[in-house]
Amino acid sequence: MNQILLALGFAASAFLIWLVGSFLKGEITIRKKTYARKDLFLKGLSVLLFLLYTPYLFSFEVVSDQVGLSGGVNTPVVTVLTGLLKWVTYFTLAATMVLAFFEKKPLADFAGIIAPVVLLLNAVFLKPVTVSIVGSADYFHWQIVLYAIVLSLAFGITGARTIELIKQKDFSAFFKRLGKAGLWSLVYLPAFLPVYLPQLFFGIIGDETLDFTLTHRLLIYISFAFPALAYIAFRKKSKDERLLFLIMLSLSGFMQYFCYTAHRDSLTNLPLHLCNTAIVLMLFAYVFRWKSVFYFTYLVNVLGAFCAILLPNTSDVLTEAGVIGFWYNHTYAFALPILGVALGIFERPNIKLMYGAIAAFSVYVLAAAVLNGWLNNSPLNVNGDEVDYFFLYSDFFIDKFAWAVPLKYDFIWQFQLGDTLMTFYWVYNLVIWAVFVALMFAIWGVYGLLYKTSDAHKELARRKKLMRFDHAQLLKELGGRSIKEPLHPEGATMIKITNFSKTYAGTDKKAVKDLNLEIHEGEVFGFIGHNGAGKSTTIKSLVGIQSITEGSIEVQGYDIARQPLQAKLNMGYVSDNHAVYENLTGREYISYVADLYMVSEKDKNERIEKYAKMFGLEKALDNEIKCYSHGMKQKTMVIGALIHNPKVWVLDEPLTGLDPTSSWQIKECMRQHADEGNIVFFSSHVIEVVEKVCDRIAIIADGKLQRVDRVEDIKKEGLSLEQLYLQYAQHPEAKLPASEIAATAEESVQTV
Amino acid sequence: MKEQGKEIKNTPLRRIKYLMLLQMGERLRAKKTQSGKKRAFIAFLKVCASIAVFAVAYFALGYFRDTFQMKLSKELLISILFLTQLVGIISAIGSILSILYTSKENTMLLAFPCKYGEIFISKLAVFALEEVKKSCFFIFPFLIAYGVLVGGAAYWIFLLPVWLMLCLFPVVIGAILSIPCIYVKRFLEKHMFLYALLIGTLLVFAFVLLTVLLSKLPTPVRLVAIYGKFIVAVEEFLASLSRLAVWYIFLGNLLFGVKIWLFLPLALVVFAAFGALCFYFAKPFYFKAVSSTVEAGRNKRHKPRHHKHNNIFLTFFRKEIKLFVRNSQSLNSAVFTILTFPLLSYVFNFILAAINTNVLGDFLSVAFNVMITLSILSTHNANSASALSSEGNEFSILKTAPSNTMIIAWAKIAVAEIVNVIALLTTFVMLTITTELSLANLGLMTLVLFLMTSGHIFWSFQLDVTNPKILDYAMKGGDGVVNNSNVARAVIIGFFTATITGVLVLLLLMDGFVSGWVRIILLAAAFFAARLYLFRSNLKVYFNDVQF
Repeated sequence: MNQILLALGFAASAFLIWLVGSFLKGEITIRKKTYARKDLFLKGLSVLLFLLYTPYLFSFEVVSDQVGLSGGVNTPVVTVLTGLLKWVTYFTLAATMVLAFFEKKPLADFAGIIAPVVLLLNAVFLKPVTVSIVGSADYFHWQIVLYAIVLSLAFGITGARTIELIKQKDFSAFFKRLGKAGLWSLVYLPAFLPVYLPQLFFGIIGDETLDFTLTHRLLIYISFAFPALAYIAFRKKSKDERLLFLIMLSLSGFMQYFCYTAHRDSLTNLPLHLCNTAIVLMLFAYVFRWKSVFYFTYLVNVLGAFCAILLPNTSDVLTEAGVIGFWYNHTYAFALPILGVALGIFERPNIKLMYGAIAAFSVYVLAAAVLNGWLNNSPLNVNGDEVDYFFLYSDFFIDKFAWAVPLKYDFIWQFQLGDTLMTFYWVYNLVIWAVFVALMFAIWGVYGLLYKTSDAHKELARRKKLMRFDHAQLLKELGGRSIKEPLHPEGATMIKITNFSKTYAGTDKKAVKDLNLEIHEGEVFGFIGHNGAGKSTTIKSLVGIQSITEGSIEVQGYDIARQPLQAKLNMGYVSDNHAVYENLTGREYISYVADLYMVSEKDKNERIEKYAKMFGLEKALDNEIKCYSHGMKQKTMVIGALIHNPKVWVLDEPLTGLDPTSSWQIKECMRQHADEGNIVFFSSHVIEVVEKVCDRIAIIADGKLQRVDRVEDIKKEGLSLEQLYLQYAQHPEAKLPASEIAATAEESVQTV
Repeated sequence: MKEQGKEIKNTPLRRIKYLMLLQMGERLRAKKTQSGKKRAFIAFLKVCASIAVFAVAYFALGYFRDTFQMKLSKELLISILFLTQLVGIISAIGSILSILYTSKENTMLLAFPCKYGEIFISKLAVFALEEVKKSCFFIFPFLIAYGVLVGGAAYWIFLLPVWLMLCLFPVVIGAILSIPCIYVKRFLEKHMFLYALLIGTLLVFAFVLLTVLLSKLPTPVRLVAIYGKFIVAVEEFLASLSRLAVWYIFLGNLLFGVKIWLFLPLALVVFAAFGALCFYFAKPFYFKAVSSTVEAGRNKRHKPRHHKHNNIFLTFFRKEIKLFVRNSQSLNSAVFTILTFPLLSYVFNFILAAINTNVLGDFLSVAFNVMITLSILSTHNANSASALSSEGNEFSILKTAPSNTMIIAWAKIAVAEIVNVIALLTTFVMLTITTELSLANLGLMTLVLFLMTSGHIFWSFQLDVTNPKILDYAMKGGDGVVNNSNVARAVIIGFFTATITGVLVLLLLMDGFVSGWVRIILLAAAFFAARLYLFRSNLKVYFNDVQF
């Protein structure tokens, strides 16, 4: 009879909610935000469900103290069935509470298809369920009445969804949807395990969960693996799904805490102590995006939970409700804040958020100190519970740090408030507060390191992917040709610089802007410009020392950025800074370079012989380079650059600081190399040299190419290169219009 | 000299000031680029660090006083100051040798229109400023902690001048001692045989001395039984030590308000005398020593013995080996590690064997060995965090070469591994001879150490690849870069790795010998594999980005 009455109540509730929902149409504006009336109604019902269910959770269920299946208020079989029903009902109620807030298909299907069945089963098994809660079939016990109201309301909310489904005749792929909803619920079900269930089903078995016993270690692994696995599983889901996951977990933590850990007969386990506080606060932090509270738990409780997981202060064995509650509680207190930031629901803490967290923590410490000072001395504390929220009142800390004893007992502030002698260890509490604030900063620093590591790994993965993509793109552009062949065979006899720009890290200014240049075989090409004009930058990008910000550079048809090895094989480079290993001998250095350029032993020896003779280095070649003069080092570098007889020879300020003989030798060498059909590209400040040696020149000023000319043409115009250079070097702002420069460059190329 | 119509006196002080600003310019510029908030935050963190050191010193001293009944006396303070200053002087000599004589910026500074003495002073002053800054995180908070516990009025009055003198004294002494040191160093570099002979002699001497000292240890060492005697002996040792440190006695007396009228002038006179000695003795040698570094070195010929390699790795490896052998600094460091490390292990294990460790048996010994070995070897291996950057200007050769030049990283690692393995093997042999640890324990321990140290080498190298300091090395030369943050980071990582590994080894071995070793080796292999994978990935991705 009672079952039928309850089922009817369920049906009436569902119909009523559906009916009211159908009538509620249109929108309503509250504080400049617009809400659908029906949504608002359903959300209100969900909040009501939460408010009604919380006091029920806080009440005492007889079965929660039962150990093992036999000797209880129900038969073993019935106990198992009601236990499992309780478990599924917990989860169903939680899903019902969040239903109105998330548009998620499996959740909606679970609510519309599975949830009413689960709730109805409670009506079917009303008698054993009632007995398991209050110990007898007292259907009018306030707990049962409250439970019935909660179930009816939940059935109303989910049943209305069922009616909607039936009304819409939305039965497409019904079993597939049912299966998905079932799977979705299976993911969450372990989180909602009533903490007393293992003790009820299996009795008290297992090891103690401390001192790194096997059981303790397993629990540690699970606690630390859980956030990692959750992160991997949810990191790519939508933000809504991630939030739903975290709210479901925090709801589960909240429900587990109230159904067992928060002992109804003791003041000590109120949600004001360490991780208990975190578990309760976390739910509100997620629901209301309450930043200061969230970061308070993120910076304080995670550390506390971490310590508790490693060094638990419980000596119970595995299946005891206290142990299960302890591990769920601390795993959530550890994982939920970390996942909040890792899954992007809350941002990484900055100094402003730190202040908010410190403020929230300060309020908490103050509240805990006041409550400790009051409840420990108040006649209201009839059981004489030792109230010690955040260990501010007991000797917990001073047992470990004896030096702090005077801090506690030398500074006591007491005053009479009614019947209570309020007692505060104010200096001691202040010190604890200060130490924890310092710890918050330290943990912030640790998080900072972890973020940095995580970012580095993400960036590494991103760039690896990009490299693979670039390689595939290159192969595609090569169109089946070998990667050793030039990307653009038509440019196989030249250096081609196209729209090249370079910006250095840490600055917005372009060192070189939109440079276009073509240099052909047989040419000695001079690159001139004032200091900082962009000569070395261009050269360094050309030879592959520096990256290219925009545009492309091709050497003999090979793209230096994309086919660097092939491009470099065709180049020899003399730097402006004597880049030679000073502890090697000249011969060793040249041989080292020859090996890098894969020169045969015969060619290498011949060329060393030839160039050493040419530069007069025969005697010094087996001395360590650190004994060489400036000119000798420069000549060694020149030999190193020519050892593989490159098609393109690039020199950056090659004649700086050389004596006339050395200078002449290098100039001769350059001319000779170009006459052999190669390209010589060099930068210099020595205008006379450029004028004498070069076939063509380019002037660069302030990172922009000003003009490209044949030296002969300049002479024909009756200009001297020096005059021309000074015009651009001193007045780069008086340069020719861009179109004219481009025309000059093009004309010059055509002439060549 | 005129500047904007105003007559400027080109005084020595003005020149020194500008020389100092020039040398500190780089750091100042780096700070200027930071936002005000960031600078304030960094300052706040530094204050916090200083307070933390104070707290640690305060509680440690309090603990020693209350638990070990050690009197926080004037003599104890003098001994502590003396010992820390000894370390400070040795470290100052090393730094001064680099900064004063071998830094690349000397070429530039010597060309300025200043007297060499002014350059000398400016360099020392910049170094001294750094020392003062550093001491804010150790000596200063320590002195305050000591003062809070036992200090009177005089202590607080003389705290600042004493602290300043304590910061500057090692600089002055270091500058004086660096003169003979640089000549000895160069002499030994020229005469490698003498150098090897000296090292060998020192080694034998150290071994004999240590054996004699260790033989005086009562075995088994029962710490509880000899507790009172031990503390008294320590106090006596410190008291006798304090009697040797004359100048520190003056400072101690000042702080404790003993005959201030006598010790204040004495302290100042001694300090001034050393200052004058430094200025008038070291200064004249400065130019001579520096110019001989800057000038072209002596002609050192090597027989042409180059062998052609088609393998790029072998090309790099040969080059690395040659440079390693010809670079006295890297060679010295390696020789020092290889030779002193087994000695340290010997001492450590001798003491450990003397202490009754029946409860945990060999496990404790293995765990401590792992911890100590890893700490010391990783400190040496942290040099890998500058391996690529130390190429400096020469890195351009790698960038322009048409080969997979990132292979150079593997060649450098191979050289580091050779030193690492030799150090591990010599230690293994030494421990086999001198300890009673089983061969299985020692072998497995060596394997774990190899995996962990190799992992640390990869990690250190990775720090350099991802955050290269090539420009610093190109500008200042290898010797000029004193504070490479990557190396510092690698040392810290090594320390943490060592601590965690030591604890894990102990915990896991306590669980069971076979299962413990299996798990330890698996963990070490996992660490090695992870670091190898990450290093390889980072090298592949970031090597081409390294530029200057």
